[in-house]
Amino acid sequence: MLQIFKISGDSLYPFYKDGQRVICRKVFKDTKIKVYDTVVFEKDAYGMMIKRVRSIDDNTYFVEGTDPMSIDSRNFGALNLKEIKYKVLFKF
Amino acid sequence: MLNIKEVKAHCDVPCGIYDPSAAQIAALSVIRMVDLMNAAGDEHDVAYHNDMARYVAVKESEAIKCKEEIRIIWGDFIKPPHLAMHPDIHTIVHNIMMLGGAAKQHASREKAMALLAEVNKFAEIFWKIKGVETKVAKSPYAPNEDVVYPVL
Repeated sequence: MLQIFKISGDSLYPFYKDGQRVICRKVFKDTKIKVYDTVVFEKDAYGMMIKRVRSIDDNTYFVEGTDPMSIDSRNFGALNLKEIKYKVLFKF
Repeated sequence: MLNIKEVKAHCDVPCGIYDPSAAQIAALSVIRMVDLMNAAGDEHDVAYHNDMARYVAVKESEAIKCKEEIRIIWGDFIKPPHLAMHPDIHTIVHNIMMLGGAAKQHASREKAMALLAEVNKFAEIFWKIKGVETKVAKSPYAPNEDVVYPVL
């Protein structure tokens, strides 16, 4: 299942820019997610977010933006796989 | 057909409230304090010294506030893509820092006006980044100087 997202914000600059679009594939239990993959997930207080996976430990995924002030796992901790909704395939 | 949803790549506490108007009001306040200092009464009157002390204190604090407000927007809101589009932002901010210092050091209307002019340049760029049109109008209160306002 594919989904297009439009990025709002520059926390992943220069890899992804504000206004850029990404095509993503839905994540299932058996989806392989690697370090440096970019993923889309939902956090209650923030809504749907996009960040890069910086490390994987005990099936939890620590995600970060490239900007030092990015809101990411440094704020809300590592993600479980079930929290990750989509994996980015490519940008355009 | 796929519908396009928005996904956030935001920074900072996600309140997103940035506005240069506080810095503009602070710069206007510096000009106003200089005007009041120049119009102060008889220096042999004790009230003169009371008034002058208050004007100087407010001028000092408003100049500091102006610098702080600009620093926060520059440091927290302005990102590399904005710098690429507006490469003069660093120079403008540095000018504001220096003119803010000069506003504290001196009682010069010329320097205070220069501070407002640079803050207005910063405000114009800020609103352009936000995609908001601007207009220039006199502040509807003393010192009645030109201010860049967003057209909302």
